[in-house]
Amino acid sequence: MASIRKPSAAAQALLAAFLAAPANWRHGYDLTKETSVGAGTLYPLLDRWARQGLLEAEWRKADAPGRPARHAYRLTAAGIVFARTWATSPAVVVNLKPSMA
Amino acid sequence: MRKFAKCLVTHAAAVIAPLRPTQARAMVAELDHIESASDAFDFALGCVVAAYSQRMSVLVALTFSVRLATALAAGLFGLLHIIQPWSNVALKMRLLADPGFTACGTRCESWIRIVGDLPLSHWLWQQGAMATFGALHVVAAVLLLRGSIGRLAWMSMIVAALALAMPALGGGGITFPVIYILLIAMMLAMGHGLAKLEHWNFTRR
Repeated sequence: MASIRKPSAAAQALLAAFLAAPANWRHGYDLTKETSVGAGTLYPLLDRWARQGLLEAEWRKADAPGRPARHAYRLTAAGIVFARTWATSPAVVVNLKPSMA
Repeated sequence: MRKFAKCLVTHAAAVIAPLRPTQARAMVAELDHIESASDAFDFALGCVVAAYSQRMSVLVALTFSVRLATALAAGLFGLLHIIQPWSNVALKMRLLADPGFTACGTRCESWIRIVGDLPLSHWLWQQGAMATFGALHVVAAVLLLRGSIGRLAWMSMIVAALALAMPALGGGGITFPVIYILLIAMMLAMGHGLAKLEHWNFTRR
């Protein structure tokens, strides 16, 4: 069941990042780089959204050889609806981290 | 710096693992995909923050405070039982060496008379019994603080058995044993209740 409370700015930025390519699997570190949301905020949000059924998560083989498998996340159908409702506009996300533009 | 980051993430994983084992493994695995050492350090710090923020709650802080306060009270109670009876033994030995000794004038005349009337063996027995009770209470306090409720239950039974044996061993009436048993039973009930509350809080999230 999705939360009806308005997500924080960091959560909105993350939702926008997920929504930019909803079919793609995303990783924790990449999301921190892309949105400037720290791991301290990121992981509790990913955990909450996964438990709410907004995100699906699975272990995926690493692209580079010799590296461990990574835990990847992507929006579910319910998550896409939720993200479309709450994701920040691109302008706000750009303000969070100019390199995203 | 990378080694330190690895230590931090390992610590964060250990903190969060009982609650979110997958997240713990995800954080550790993710660190190996970060090229820059400074980024790895920032990420690791964030993981520590995430782990503690997810584990901490008002209820956890409250139950820990109650546990700590009860353990401190029980520990102090125990230490007083270890320390205080020595004054009777010390006074008795002083009176044996100097029968005319007056420790504090007329203010403690009755105390000196009682200590003087009873033999040294009585006061040594009292010291031994009280110190045993005191030590058991200090151990019980440590067990409560550590959350070892099973062992605390055993300790409570030992205290209750000793308290009940005291009158039979010539250690006075039933009043003090009843007080000891009530106090240790209250401590056990509180420890058990707190453990139940913590378990409920842990599993509901």
